[in-house]
Amino acid sequence: MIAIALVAAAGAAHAQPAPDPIPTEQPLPGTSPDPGPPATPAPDATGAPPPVATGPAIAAPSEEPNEIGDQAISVEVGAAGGGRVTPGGLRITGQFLYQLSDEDWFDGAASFTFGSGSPACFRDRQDQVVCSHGVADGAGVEVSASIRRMFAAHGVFRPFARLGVGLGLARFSDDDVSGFTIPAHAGGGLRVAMSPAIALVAEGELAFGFGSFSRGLGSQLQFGLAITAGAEFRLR
Amino acid sequence: MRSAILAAVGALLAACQHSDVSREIGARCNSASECNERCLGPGNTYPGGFCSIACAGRDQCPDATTCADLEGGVCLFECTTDPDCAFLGTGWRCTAADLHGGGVKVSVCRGG
Repeated sequence: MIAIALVAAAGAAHAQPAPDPIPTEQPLPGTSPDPGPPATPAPDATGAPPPVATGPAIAAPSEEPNEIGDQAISVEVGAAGGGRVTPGGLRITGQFLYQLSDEDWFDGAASFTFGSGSPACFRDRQDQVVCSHGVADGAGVEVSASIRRMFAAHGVFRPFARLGVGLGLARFSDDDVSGFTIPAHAGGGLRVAMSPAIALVAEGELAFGFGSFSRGLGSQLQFGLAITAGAEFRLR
Repeated sequence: MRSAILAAVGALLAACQHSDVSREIGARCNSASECNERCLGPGNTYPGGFCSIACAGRDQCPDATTCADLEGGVCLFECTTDPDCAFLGTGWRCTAADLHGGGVKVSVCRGG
């Protein structure tokens, strides 16, 4: 639901007109306007072409070129730390970025976590099921919708922050425990532009929320962290 | 708003709860699959069942437990009086048993 709303907002944001280009078709002093299309400037006394270009408009060069693009995808690999009923282990994440404004991008992600399946649940003396999984136990899949704010670039480096919410499934196979989770995500990272179309990205995030689990566990708190790195590819 | 904050704090405390027992020792059980090693099945001797591990001496048992010469040598919680065993539930008492391999008496939590 949240993702749909964010995408709708993205569409509205893109309905804004593009910035005006710099006007370039002004006659040079001492020359008469050329009525014929396309305009071809007369050579000056040295034979060199005039310094002002004519013809199709040239976009104004910005101080911080938007090397990220309107849309991009990324693939990241790293480690996730969980515990108790939060899955942890190898983390693989795919992301889709969609520009919302000058600074903000919609960040839709699908992440997969692969940890060990060793059993860690038991019945305590009050006959309540308790799970004490380690930081790299369990498996999970999650889709999330976030807003990624890009900060000012420093050369090829551009830090960013991310805030969002997800919906996931968690599974601890050897305990036969499954559940769905609703974690909030907060994190940040660094983007390193390698070329106009490719960047390296490293980020860390915290996840905090709730989950509902089987085997009588009921509602449980979710808390995890992840550190991932990968490559981002500009689409448009 | 206040109830939401209380609910969140309650959930946080619940998530951080610490159990005195574990799959290794002390958890309730009906079968060994509920334990790391073995289940002392539910009955008068072990009300509710009791996850434990086999041992040949005291040094093979976790903290707060000792190797009782029962069931071929199993780790049980040490105690001095009956209230020390209350956390295991009703029916558990502090009783004497032989230390496995030691030739001395120890007090451990058992049913009965």
